[in-house]
Amino acid sequence: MSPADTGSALPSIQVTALNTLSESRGSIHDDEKAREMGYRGGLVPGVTVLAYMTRLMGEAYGRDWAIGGSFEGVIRRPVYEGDVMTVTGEFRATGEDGEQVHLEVHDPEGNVCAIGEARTPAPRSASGSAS
Amino acid sequence: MTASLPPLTEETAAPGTRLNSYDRTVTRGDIETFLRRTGEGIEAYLDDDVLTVPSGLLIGFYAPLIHGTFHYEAGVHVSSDLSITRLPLADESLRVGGEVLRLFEKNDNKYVTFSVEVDTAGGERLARIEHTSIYALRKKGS
Repeated sequence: MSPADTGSALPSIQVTALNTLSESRGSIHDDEKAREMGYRGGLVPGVTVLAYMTRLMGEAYGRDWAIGGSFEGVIRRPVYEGDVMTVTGEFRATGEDGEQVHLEVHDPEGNVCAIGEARTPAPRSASGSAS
Repeated sequence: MTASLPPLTEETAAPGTRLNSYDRTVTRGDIETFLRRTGEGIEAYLDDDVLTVPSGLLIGFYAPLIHGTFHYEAGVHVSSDLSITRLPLADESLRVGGEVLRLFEKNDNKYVTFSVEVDTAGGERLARIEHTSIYALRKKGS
């Protein structure tokens, strides 16, 4: 796989969602409150879902990928405890500003629950050794 | 404790309102807990026994900042825009501050965007994050 090809995919990962704030009574992460608000159950915290995408970037580019780069993530749909989420990355462009990667987090039904745009500080290999 | 804090409203959270800063030291235990959530191993963050804080963990620094300034219950994190100058190290003393940038409404939900600045105790800027959260969520389907 050559990440230099626009549209080429980074190796995807799977993560079983864990609602770490399920005990936060009265919050949207609490099953009871979330059901009252019309959701299936407590929502997995958005920060946790966004971190699935930073994990993918770390595995592709090394832990220091974000230094001098950037990451912007947006939550689109709720993520629930126990769902196996698939995280994908698609290489978009290389320039003087670095490499741009489009990221998505999918639920088991294939819905896109979060999207992200990441940029590394400078062109480098996505072999996982560039830390 | 949060019940004594003011509610987050247009009046209490005007753009420019500073958020109550706090000190934070990320321990190895914090990092291990975070990595369990994302399914990662710790090895990728260890270098000659020096442990680096994962970039994704910094995104969560917003919570004590906003929830230590305002009281609201059904908040939903919507987006984060993260810029990092240097990753903190485990056990490094950090100071986290920020301010309200804007409030807006969309689809009957009320949103707040605020900045989060992560500095060392000595004042070195390590990261800046812009967060947007829903602070007043409409009932689904309403």
